[in-house]
Amino acid sequence: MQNNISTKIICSKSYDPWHNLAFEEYLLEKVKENEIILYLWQNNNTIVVGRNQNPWKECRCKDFEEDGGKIARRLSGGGTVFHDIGNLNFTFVMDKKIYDLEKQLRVILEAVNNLGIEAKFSGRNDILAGERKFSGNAFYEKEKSSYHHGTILVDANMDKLSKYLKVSKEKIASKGIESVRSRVVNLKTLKEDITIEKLKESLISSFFEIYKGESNIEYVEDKKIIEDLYKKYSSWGWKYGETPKFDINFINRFTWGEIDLNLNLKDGMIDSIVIYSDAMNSILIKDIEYELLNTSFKMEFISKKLDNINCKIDEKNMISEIKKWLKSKIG
Amino acid sequence: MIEIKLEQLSGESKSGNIGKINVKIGDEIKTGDILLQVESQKGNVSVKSNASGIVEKIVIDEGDRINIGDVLFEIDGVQNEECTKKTGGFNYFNTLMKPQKKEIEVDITIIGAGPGGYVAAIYAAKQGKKVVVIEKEHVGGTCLNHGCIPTKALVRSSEIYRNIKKADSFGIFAENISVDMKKVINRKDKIKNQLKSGIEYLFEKHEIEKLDGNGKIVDENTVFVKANRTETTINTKDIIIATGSETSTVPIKGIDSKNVLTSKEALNMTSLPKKLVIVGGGVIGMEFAFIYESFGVEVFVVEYADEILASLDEDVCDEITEIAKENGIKLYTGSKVEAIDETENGESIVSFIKDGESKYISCDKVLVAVGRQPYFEGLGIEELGIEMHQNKKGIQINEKMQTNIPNIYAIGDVTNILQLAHVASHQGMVAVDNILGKVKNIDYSAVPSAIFTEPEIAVVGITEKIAREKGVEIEIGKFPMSANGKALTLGDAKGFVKIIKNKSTGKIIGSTIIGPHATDLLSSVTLCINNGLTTEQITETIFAHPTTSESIHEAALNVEGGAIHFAE
Repeated sequence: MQNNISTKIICSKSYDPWHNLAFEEYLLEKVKENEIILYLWQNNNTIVVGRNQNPWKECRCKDFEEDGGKIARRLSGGGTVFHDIGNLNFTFVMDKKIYDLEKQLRVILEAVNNLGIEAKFSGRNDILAGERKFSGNAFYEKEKSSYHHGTILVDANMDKLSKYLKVSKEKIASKGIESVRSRVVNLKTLKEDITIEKLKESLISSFFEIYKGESNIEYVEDKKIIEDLYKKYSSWGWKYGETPKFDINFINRFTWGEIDLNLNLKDGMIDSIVIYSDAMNSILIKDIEYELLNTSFKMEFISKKLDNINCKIDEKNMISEIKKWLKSKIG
Repeated sequence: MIEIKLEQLSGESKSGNIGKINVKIGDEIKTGDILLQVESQKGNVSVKSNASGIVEKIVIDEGDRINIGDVLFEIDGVQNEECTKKTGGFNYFNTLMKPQKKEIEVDITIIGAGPGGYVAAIYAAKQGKKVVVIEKEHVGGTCLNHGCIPTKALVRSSEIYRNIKKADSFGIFAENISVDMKKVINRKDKIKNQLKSGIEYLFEKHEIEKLDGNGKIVDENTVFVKANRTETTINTKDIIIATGSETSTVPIKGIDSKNVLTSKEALNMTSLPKKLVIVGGGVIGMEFAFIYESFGVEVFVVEYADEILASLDEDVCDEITEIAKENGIKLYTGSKVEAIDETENGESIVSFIKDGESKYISCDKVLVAVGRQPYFEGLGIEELGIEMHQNKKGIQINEKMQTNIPNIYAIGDVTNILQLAHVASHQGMVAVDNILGKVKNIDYSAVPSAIFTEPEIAVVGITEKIAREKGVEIEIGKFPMSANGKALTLGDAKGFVKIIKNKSTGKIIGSTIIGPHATDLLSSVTLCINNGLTTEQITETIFAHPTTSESIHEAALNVEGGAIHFAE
């Protein structure tokens, strides 16, 4: 086949996941016929969930956001990943006609190989060094264009990774895709002199070699054009609301008795609710159920709704304790 | 009504999981709107609408596993022709993708994930075997997708409708009752999908690998599958063929005309015909006859044999024939269908010969239910020299489920011994036991079968007919449901329990029950037969009052000197 593929390299200077993902989607719209773009980007302190995943289930999103982290949802499938500036993301955005997974992977495998690391592609779409994963890959395709993207762990904070990617204690029955845990490794652990910069250079040269192209490297930071996409990626509706429907159950024992809260969530809204309690009278239970129905699964709204309830002083105290408890659970 | 189907998945995947569904019933959608997300092997695609209109029905649910070609939505509106064609880019992409070649080593390869194959897979995996299952369509096979389960969902809807129609006899009054076939079918699909996900889950839990595609046996230790973007060569110690059966057709003129349905299509029919002719009065035909009759369709059954459900004993045939007629089902037995002709106004005319005379029925739909035949297309059994039955229908096996090639086993409908899901499952377990080195022979002497007419019919062991053919000396014990208190309270006091006793051994060797919940009653009799109990031992057992199972006790008493609550 003749080589009429045109190549382009774009590096993002932003560490904001919403910006970077918005720009990735923008590239998918704009990629030209017979063109392949290698887009390199990094996010700081971010958890990215797969398109069909449930952030409440996959990570301790509440704690993570409180500690200054950002939650993001990508377009591609697959599981949840933690990003910081010790991690490099690559995206091959291309005209679907020239999609060739093996060739794209060769870019990655050769790049790390040139840095002295022997790697292989696993059946689970991971790239492994020995038996440990340092890169996870996922895919999204449209009518004419598609992308293949992945992470490369160079020097990521493994303590944070394992701290936040912990499934919540609440019982959640989810309809979406669940993550599969893997043993991961930083490339730096395998070879001490590897840095993000060296890896970038190596990726760029193996990309040009394999696609027989050359071009300048374009750097992007803020673009007005992607404002709308940025709004989408940073919105609660996208990050949380796009979760496939799920059931979540919270149980807590207070000094005055137990409360067992069962929620059915759809589009991030409380679609149905059942409360069991040995301490509350049934009218109060009904009132709480009635108020919370069709509320966003977001503490600020839940708080407001709970404040609407008219009841006696002792019951007010119960509600405020429930609020305090839920605040520690729901983002 | 336009159906929107899943046309494409990420990469070369053939099945995926549904993520977010972005539309609700009643939403107005336009061509190009994103309807839902489907994910397969970490690749996600957004499915766009190729039609505009109102969403009438959502066939799938978030979290469901679906295959390419499955229906996702029904839209009341218009289809955009251009969008339905795959883009040129995609095809080009297809040809560019080199298939990935893969080789795997397993203990057992099972071809087909129906009730035979999937049960064998789980049973073998539980005992530590590495198992791979090959399925070209859906897990659960015919039984779950186009047979037992979906028909029972319809039977239940029809039963509820029937009960409400006669509610006044119970002192209950209801007005303006009606059937919404769309909802009936929707309910059936939900049940089906739930069960399918259940099997997929069990596969996952037991680490059973499922390959989507057609399997071809290359030699006794190699099976080849083209699945997703991979061509897999399986090196296997043993092979179980569980490819099932397909709908049989008969060479009748006009059998392909547009008003003719098979049972598979009937199960997705969302509007009721006014008049329906069913060709074939066997189990499938009669179950549908009772379903549609209950829904208010005028039903005609045309059967070649002299009886409907001809394998049953005469007294059972008589009983169900009478009940069918009372319900208004028109039966034409001993009748040979000659042709199905389309009329100018879009209806059909079924012509047949009964007693040398030509007869005609006009109708708007024709359901052909003339049975099922073994399916083994592309499997490679001719090349391998796997032996068939003498009549060439079905793979020949021994009592251990082995074919003439000792490490290739066959189970279920493809063996054409007894076309029953539970026989396939049991055969699967027998095959696995033999593979594991436990010597097990199958015993077909106490196979139960269930017919979901109204009332139900259940048979286990041998019938009077077969006993006579075999020259076994028997005694018959019978008890009518009309003498059973519980049956009377149900308002369904039709039918009877019949018990067949071997005169020389005193053992119960067969039973037929026709009556309310007959199929549920049968299991205790099956246990008796399988364990060689005598009818006397049954009489010595205490049966709970008030239950319909007392009639089993009474039938046993009847053969041991006389029933308590009945005098002839």
